[in-house]
Amino acid sequence: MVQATLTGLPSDLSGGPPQKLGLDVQAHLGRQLRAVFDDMAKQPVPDRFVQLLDALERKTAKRLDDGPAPVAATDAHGTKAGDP
Amino acid sequence: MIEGPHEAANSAAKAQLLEALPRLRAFALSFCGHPDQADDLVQETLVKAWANLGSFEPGSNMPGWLYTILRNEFYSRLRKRRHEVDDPDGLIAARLATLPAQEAHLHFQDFQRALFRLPPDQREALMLVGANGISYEDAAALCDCAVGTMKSRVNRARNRLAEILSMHGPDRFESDRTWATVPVTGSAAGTVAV
Repeated sequence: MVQATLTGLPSDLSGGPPQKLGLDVQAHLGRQLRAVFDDMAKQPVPDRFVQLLDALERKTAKRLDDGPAPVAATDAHGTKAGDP
Repeated sequence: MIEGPHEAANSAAKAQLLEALPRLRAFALSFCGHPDQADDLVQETLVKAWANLGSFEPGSNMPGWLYTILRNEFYSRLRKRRHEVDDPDGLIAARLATLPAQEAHLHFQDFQRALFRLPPDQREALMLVGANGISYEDAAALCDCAVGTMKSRVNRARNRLAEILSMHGPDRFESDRTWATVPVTGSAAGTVAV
């Protein structure tokens, strides 16, 4: 039932006759889309993010030690990029 | 006195965030196209997520929650800066290190460029539904829009992609039999404007 909605373009999208993409074209696009996304998701995660999370965790632990305090996003701006 | 449970919870949250990171970065990249901006977006998302961990229900969908934060951040920046994303040539296509090891190499880059010519909402729809197999209903919920709107975005995006790609001429797809045998918009090259 999904296919039925995918093949028909709403007629109000253009002045011309409704375009239809064949299922094989859709399959082609789907393969390409997955390839693009998977390729992006395969990139190694930079250390800065691990360091950022470590820093956030430490700060939270410290705050808990020191007593309740609002967890503010501004706290972590100082940790930007985790670079010296 | 209650450090134990808190620390355990924080540690668990951190692990979940780390696990979600690769895909979060992929989504961020698909939003902005520029790796540096994408990672800024991811960083801000992590900071906000951490600051709001209290509002995250343990056991619920962490990636979905992070995605919502990410897209809110992206669109709020977009509104502030009116940052132009339609710059296909300066995009990830040229910067990604790994590409599918096929003869489709060039097609892959063409495809990426075409993808970044789409409006952000259409690209997002394709990334969620087309690339990640998320249902229209879930995608609509993530994007805070009607299901019909999501379907329409996906449709438009697919047709627009097909249009853009076919402008290179059908011979570009010779190596892809399924594509080559289908005259996508061969007769519609001049009509366009979805």
